[in-house]
Amino acid sequence: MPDTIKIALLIVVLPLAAWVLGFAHAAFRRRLPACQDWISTVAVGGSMALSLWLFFTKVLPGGGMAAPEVWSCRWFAIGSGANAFILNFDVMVDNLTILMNCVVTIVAFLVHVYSRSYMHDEDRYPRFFLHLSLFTFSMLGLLVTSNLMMLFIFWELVGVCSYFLIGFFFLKKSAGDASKKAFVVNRIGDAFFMAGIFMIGGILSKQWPGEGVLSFQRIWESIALLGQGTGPWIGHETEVALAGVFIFMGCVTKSAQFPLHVWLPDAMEGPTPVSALIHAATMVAAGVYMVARMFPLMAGKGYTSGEFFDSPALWVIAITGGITALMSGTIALVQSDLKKGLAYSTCSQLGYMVMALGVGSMGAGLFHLFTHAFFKACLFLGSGSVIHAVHSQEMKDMGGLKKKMPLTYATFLVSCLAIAGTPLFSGFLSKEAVLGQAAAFGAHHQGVLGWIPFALAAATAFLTAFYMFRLLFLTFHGKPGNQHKFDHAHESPFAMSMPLVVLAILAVIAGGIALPGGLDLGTGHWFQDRVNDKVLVQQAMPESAAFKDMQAHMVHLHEPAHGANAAIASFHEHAHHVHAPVMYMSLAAVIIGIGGAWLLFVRRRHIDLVGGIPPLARYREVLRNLYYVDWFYCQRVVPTGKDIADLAKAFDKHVVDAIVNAVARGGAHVAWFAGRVDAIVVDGAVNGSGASMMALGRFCRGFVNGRIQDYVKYTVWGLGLLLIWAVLAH
Amino acid sequence: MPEIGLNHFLIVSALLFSAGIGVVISRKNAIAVLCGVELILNAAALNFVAFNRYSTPDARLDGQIFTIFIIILAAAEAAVALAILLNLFQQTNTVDVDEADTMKE
Repeated sequence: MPDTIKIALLIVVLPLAAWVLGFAHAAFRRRLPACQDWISTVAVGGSMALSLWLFFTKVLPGGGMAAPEVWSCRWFAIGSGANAFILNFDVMVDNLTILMNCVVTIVAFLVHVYSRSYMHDEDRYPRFFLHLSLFTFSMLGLLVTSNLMMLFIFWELVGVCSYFLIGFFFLKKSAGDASKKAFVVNRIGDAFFMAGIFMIGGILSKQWPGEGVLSFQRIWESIALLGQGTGPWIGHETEVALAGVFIFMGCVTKSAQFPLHVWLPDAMEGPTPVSALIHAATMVAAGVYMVARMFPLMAGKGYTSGEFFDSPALWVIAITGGITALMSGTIALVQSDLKKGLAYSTCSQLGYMVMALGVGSMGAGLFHLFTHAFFKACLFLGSGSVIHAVHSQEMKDMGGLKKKMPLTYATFLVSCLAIAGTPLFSGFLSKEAVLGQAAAFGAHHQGVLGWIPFALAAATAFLTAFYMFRLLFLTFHGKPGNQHKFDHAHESPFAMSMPLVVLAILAVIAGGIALPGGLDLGTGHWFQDRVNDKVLVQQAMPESAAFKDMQAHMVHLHEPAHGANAAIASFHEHAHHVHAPVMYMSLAAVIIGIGGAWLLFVRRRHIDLVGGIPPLARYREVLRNLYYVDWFYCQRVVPTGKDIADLAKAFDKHVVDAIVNAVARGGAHVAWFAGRVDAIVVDGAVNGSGASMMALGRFCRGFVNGRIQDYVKYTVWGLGLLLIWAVLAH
Repeated sequence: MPEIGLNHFLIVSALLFSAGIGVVISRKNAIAVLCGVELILNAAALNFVAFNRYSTPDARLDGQIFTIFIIILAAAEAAVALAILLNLFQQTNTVDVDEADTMKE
């Protein structure tokens, strides 16, 4: 096992060890250890240190890791011989794994530190840390494994941790309902995800029997072979797209994409640190991560040659992401609850990432994931700090907190600038990368359809700056909304403000900083040079000929390699041309968004946005009702489901039960008959043989009466008979 | 009147034996049983004498000597048996063979 793998596995196992310790203590002592917070924090701190060490030794120097470290061991095999289905525990560590490990462990560590202060007076305080440790373990496991089935297992683990933590205040009915909602909605996507895995496993193992076909490398290779016109997918071209869409459905629920985003805003019932860790920075990004890992599958046949802009699965992904981004962005405009506003913002940003993947840029999508994790975690923890101070989540109770909570305000402002896409902040670089890709995609398609993702994303860019600054201004600027609460507000303790500061710094520098010494950190290139599909996938497939001449199509600012095919060349040409306009547009978005928010919410403090303007008021109702998606589910889908359930119940009762009962009655009759046969024939034979033996015994016993005279008598009879026989015989 | 031969002796002997067996089987009195046994012994003795007379013409006396032994043996046996019976009678106040069944239990 290579050292890198050992370290990566140690990173995964440390939080698990914290969980096991707490669990064992609970098992033997009937309660969790009082120092569970320390155990969990130290464990995740260790993971963070190791992740950062990997980052500074492996990813940062040079161009990152030259090739991923892979290791695998067999977990189990179903069946035997050539037809066996093999499940391996595959581990792969590459640039992306290490970067994601850093994101998860840094945010998790800061959230642990923050929670020690934030959650301190809550009931079940140690249990909170126990759940956090389990979550951290599952999330890290999800990142290091390179087997789709193992990924699914960790996927479910993070899902169940999310369920535990959303419902942490389970005595509150709304929290219990929200956790159930999250769980049930996620099951829908998971069912599709599983179906996708089975499709891939089924088709690949037919061609490659007895091998671990669900490892990423095998799936990538199968796609490369498809591009060359051979391999397991030949004759199953439709299934490639179908499997891609099914697997994407897993992402739709986990990463809260339209139309299954409904669970994420409700998940804000959970404690605020949980919202920051799970429902902003890490778990919801797992869907994006998973789609990025499966990117070749989504791109399909044209993956290695670079001609995949018409891949149906990618179209689905791009449109879904775009719709989610715009829709959630608009809903965020009218939210009066600070955390709900942030939740819709998260949905919207996740839509961005998904859309970036859909328009064919894994690097841009993951870059936005990377930067978003820091500033969104900072925003959530900042909102937690405010909620801690005013004991309310409603923005009407806030306002004017700037002077009372300067540190929270400063970090919140930095993060808002980052998410809005202000230059010099990390969000600017990642958002510009996403928009640039979407624009190049539009230009490349040369039609109205191709511009749809970009149009959605660009509209969202304006909205993002606007609604984020609406939240900021309503919370920290203007007059206090509630004088009593304002008077009691105070800056949070150091344990809570320290994570905010660290995250705010990361929100600035995560995109890249200009460092002397030749490191290309001044732009987003440093990330995309290390994390893009060409680097990650090609490096992982050193022996596959199909990946040797793979086109460098998605490193959007790079010149294409000499001899690239026409589609690639054209795409790069477009990317080059749209680059500057997109940057001006995103600058305009920041200025207009922030300026508009300032006019509306600082000058006049319109909490109730667009109130009083009739046509807008009607639209506001639509937004307030969340585009009637929840209404549709509750009023249409659920009753229909109930009707179907009633129908099924009736069917069960009158048909299935009738059959079952008839069979049972028939069985009872047969059993009665068998019983009679037993009682009369079998028992009769048994008893009869017994009784006859008894009678024989009684008969024989009569001879042996102990009287010598009788014995002599028998002897004489016997002799007599012998005599008669002898006489007759001769 | 035919000459008396071996068969006549054997018939008498068989009758004696049968009578003895009949007595041994049917009588309950132990002394009677002893008498039956004497009859059986005498039947055997008669056989010896008869076979000696008819099957060994060179006048050897093996059968007769055997018979004398049987008579002696019968006397000894009667003495022992009667002693047992006396003891039995003293113990149980009866000489009925069916009553002397204490070894059966």
